[in-house]
Amino acid sequence: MNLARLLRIGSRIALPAAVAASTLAACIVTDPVHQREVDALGPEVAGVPKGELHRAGQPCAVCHGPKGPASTQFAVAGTVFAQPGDKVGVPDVQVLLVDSDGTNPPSILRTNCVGNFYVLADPSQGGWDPQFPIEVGIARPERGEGAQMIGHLGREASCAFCHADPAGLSSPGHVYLNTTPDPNASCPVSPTVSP
Amino acid sequence: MKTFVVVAALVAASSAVGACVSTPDPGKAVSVTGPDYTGFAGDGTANNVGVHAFLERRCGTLDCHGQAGRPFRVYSGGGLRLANDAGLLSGQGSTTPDEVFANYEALVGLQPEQLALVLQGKDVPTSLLVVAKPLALQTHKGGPVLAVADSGDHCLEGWLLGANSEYVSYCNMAAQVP
Repeated sequence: MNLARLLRIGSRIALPAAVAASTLAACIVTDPVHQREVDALGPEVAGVPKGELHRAGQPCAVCHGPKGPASTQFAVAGTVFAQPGDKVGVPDVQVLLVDSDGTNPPSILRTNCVGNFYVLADPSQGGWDPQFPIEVGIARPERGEGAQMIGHLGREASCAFCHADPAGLSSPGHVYLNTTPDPNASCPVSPTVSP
Repeated sequence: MKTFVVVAALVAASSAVGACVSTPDPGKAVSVTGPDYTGFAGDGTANNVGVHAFLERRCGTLDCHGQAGRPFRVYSGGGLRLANDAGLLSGQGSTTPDEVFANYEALVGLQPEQLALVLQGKDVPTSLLVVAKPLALQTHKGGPVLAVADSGDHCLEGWLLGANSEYVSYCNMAAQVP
């Protein structure tokens, strides 16, 4: 086989191969269902930078899951609010998790000043690789406050996936501790989420 | 030869279209025989919580089968609620009798013909999706949630086989663990 013939064969294969490869790449990169879920979360709130204080009350693992787009992946994450009727985040709430193997996150989880908490999914980064189902409780022992979830996490990493607002037939509403927010608590961003 | 090929293709196409638009037989129906409902519902005491209590606990969370779009849809007091006049929302009050019956219908309605075969002893419970999936004998998005011969497996298969009431105590056990 001479060089000219080889080139002819190569040119016939190149175009279909390129089309197939680009089609495959498009399928892998774009998951329209996931993209819709990400888009539905809307833009960042003005004045709240990306980070551990952003998007309180939203289903964290939509972005912080295997499909991204966030760079960090959470095993479990959510937000604890004060009352069922408002959305004021509560700081320093312990989030107690026990998986079906009886393991816990490597350190005690505490909510930050907007009520957010998370545990990374990668154990090599101080995270936790739980075996679902997971039982959940929240507590502020120093105030004698606490609550245990009626059910358990079946497989979902985001509290807000099930605890969506408003409460209804398919949602108990957001997670709350049934406590009074501390008016003197300091936080670089507002712990109150607008409805 | 060419004419023959064209005629044959037209005949095949028209018969295919004809098959698609044939009128369904209104007299044809699937006779559904369900397993014992009393065993499913239990008696409301801790000694006989029923199969439904186990299913609610192990399958019915809002992130799994407690979702309206699922064929095997599980209602419960702590999860998805059936529309009701009492204003009960998710997490409020106990599972209602209507919800227990709806769960039974959902289970029976998954594979009614195959379920009938199991109830007649002509096939085994693991031929049913409701048994095979949690045991991970078939692909299950939630992974294995039962193990062969654990309390949940005994509860479900024992109830389906209906040979005796030993399954009742297994259901009581299975409903206690997540």
